[in-house]
Amino acid sequence: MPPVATVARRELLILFGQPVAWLALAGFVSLIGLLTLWKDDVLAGGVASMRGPFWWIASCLLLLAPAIAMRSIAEERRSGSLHLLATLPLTAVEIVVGKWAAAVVTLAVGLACTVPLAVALFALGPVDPGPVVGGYVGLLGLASALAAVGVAASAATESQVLAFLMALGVSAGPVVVGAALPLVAPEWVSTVAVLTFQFHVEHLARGVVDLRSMAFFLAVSLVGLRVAVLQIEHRRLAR
Amino acid sequence: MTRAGRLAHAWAQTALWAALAGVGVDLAGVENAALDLTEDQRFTLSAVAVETARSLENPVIARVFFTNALAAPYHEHRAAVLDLLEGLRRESGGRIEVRVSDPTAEAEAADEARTLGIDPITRRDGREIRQIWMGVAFLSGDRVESVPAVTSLPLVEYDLVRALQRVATPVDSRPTIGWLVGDGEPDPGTFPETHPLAQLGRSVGALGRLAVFNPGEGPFPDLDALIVVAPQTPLPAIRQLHLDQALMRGVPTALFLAGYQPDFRAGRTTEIHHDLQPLLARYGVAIAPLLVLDRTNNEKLPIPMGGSWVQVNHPLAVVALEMNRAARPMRAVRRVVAPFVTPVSVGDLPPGVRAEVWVSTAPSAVGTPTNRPIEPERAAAIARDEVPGPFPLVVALEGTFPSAWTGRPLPVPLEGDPVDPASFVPTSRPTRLVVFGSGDLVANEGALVEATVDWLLDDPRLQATRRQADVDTRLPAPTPGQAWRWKLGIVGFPVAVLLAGAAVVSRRRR
Repeated sequence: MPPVATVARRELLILFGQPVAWLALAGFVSLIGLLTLWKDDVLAGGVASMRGPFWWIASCLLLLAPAIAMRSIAEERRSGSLHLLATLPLTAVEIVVGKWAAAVVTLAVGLACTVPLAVALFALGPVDPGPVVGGYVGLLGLASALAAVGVAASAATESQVLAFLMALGVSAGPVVVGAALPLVAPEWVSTVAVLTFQFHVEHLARGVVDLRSMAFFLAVSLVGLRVAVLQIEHRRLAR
Repeated sequence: MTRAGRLAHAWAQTALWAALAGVGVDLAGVENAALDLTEDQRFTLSAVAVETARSLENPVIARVFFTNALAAPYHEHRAAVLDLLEGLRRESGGRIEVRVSDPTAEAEAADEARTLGIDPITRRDGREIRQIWMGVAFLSGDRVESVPAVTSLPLVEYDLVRALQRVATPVDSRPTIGWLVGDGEPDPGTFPETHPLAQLGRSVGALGRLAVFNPGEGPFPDLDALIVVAPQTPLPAIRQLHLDQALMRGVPTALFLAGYQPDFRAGRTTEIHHDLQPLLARYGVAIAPLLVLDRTNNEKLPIPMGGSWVQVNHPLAVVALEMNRAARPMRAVRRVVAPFVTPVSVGDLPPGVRAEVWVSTAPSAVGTPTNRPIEPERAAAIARDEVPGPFPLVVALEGTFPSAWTGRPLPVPLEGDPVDPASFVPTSRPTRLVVFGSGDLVANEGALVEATVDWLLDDPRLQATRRQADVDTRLPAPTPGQAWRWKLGIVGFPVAVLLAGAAVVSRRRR
């Protein structure tokens, strides 16, 4: 088994062997369900679209991703097992990518838990499958980016709580910027809009898989992972 | 390498990664590559746009007058327009030349834009309210077609392709839209330029050639579409026959029929007798003899009070909120203000005719068979003979219509030659008929009238671009069982996740 897969498998076994991950997933699905039922009822709206639920799923991912990723490296560091990992024939990149892959898989499981919403909508009326597929592709991209930010935050501290707050703060940044877009100076608005999660999720939920959106999520993921690797290398070199 | 050097190297590498990622995102946006997953390829250049561009015979210049760097929510419009024009240019094989200017910064461009019929519009741009330019003009030879303001992203393609089609079509081959007068109908050409009816005449005329005509007792001229707005007096049988025969010849027709009108001197509404109900019943349209009022959803009406006209919310200025979004002309319409409106519904449909309701009132509307006082409070008073709503107000029909005079003696004109029975057409060509229950609506809902005429003219190639509209389909109302299962699923699924988690965790612990 490749080293990255070994790290990811170990991480997944730890995550799903604890009640916390299951509680987080159940909380994630409950929150989306409640928001979809009471805040933005698809049935009452009468529109054959998953756009409303997609917004709630994206918003809830902002909470779930840091919660899933916060322990990935911070806990290893706190318990001292990161030193143990360092003695194994594993590079910092392999450790970080393995942790990130595990977080992405966990978030994908969370997204899969929302699929029954889409299935129910298909059962109710004529739903265009393209935007639903596009929406899930976009959410997977968002999950990947958020997981990378979460792993980077987790690599920066020993405290899981601090890692969660740091990841939440960084992840919320592009969302806040998106919300404040009307206040951005006109000459910057096109550039800034591309840096917001809303821009990309909205495009993908329309059923258009835009190269720019995929590049954005990939870029955030790569930078997040690189920062996490830097943190580990920095500590290793600082010792 | 020293430890500090390796650290600096790691940081530099990270900074380089970030820079490369930024460049990657930027480059990804240059080609605007996207995969359209929608069923009807809603966000891809439509077939009609491609065909229009490819069929251009003469060079066309697309002059874009757009303010650079607009703030949200208009920040994507300029790029959307330029992307679309670039697609059209490619498909035209270079026959379309795109020239872009920002009149905000260039006085000469502003003058040129105004000459081409494009004026700035006042919009909130970021934190300030200012004049911005969002127009496109197509020039071909001495012909000009302008889209003064591209403010709706979903309709960008429709607006631009329509303008491109018009500029590429010689004036004399444009459709003729007839506007019937002679029975008290308003003539848009007799109103001041700023009057809504005059504006409507211009906007409808922009779809083709508007021909206001009074045929007397003679047959209607050759038309591509016919509009009848609020006849005030009974249409004689001979006129009804010619109306019928125009429809039989396949002339798509829109009727805006007022059943009631205000009589401010008497302080009450009065009935209007156009006598078209039996004719329309033959085609499958039922007009109820009711005046609709809505005490909850209504709009302002000018009412004479104390020697002056005062705008007050009035129950007889009904605001209809139920739109049939599947009907193309209704896609961009959120509400319809229909003063002095009468219910129009689908009656007994003849074989070969399909019908759909486009607009209905809210359930709060009621109908009354008697005239109402004009004074708003008295008009709103509850009457014993009220019929509860909701009511359909607009019905559209398509198909092959039977003539209302099949098996009946043809009417004889008072003057002139009798109708030649040999020229009588008993069954129509496939055509369209739309009946509105209000005549006053025409002055308030110019965009809807224009969209309706557009629908009547039925250029299927042009209509296809309406599919670009970013509109989702409607869900049918769920049955109680479906709604219950939906809620159960939403509440039950997290519980299932928890149970699965409990099972996995306990198994691992054992």
